[in-house]
Amino acid sequence: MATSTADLLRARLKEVAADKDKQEASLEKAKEAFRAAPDESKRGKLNEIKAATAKICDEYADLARAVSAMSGGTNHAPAPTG
Amino acid sequence: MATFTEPDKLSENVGLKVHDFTADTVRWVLSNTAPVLASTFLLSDITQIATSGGYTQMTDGAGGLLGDTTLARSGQVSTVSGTQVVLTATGVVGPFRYLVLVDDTPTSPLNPVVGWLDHGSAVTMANTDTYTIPAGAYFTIN
Repeated sequence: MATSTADLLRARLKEVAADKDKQEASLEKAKEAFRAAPDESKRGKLNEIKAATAKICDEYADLARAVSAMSGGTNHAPAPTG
Repeated sequence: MATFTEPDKLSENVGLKVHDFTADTVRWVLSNTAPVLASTFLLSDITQIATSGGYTQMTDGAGGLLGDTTLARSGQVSTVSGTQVVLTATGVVGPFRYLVLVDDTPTSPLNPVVGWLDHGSAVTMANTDTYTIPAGAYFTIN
């Protein structure tokens, strides 16, 4: 049976969601470690983890909206005000 | 992006070292009751929508929609920005109109409000709908 684009997207979304959860957990752990032993020299490293997290959050968001649209869902967001 | 509104108390909290916008855990809370500049300071001041359809009410250390903020300085001005957050409904969510950003880390005050976005009208999400809280610069400190 042929795999549809929607099925492929859903499968990819599931993978990315799992990666996103792992990345967010890593970030929260890094934040907790930073707060427990604040060291300003390590703030840059924390920012690197945050940037990686933002990247995977963006990928997840794009996929989630695409899957929603294919399922007939509506993608809501606050209107930009410039 | 949509206008981010700061409660009156935020500037004081920044001065009192309540927030660390790099290291604190932040969560978005959904509400259908307008926050008030002069009195919506804590998670406990927010009338949250009910837990349903994939959204879970925030409590200290859990729930809401996990977000992340960053702080970047240029000259004498620091900008607090946030990452994109998407909720996919698995059932009915809402109605809600306000997206309130709460700092989950401080214990005194407990879970202070950082600010909020106004969707402009009430939204009710159906199964498979998404809601995107956009990434972008929320406010500046100078």
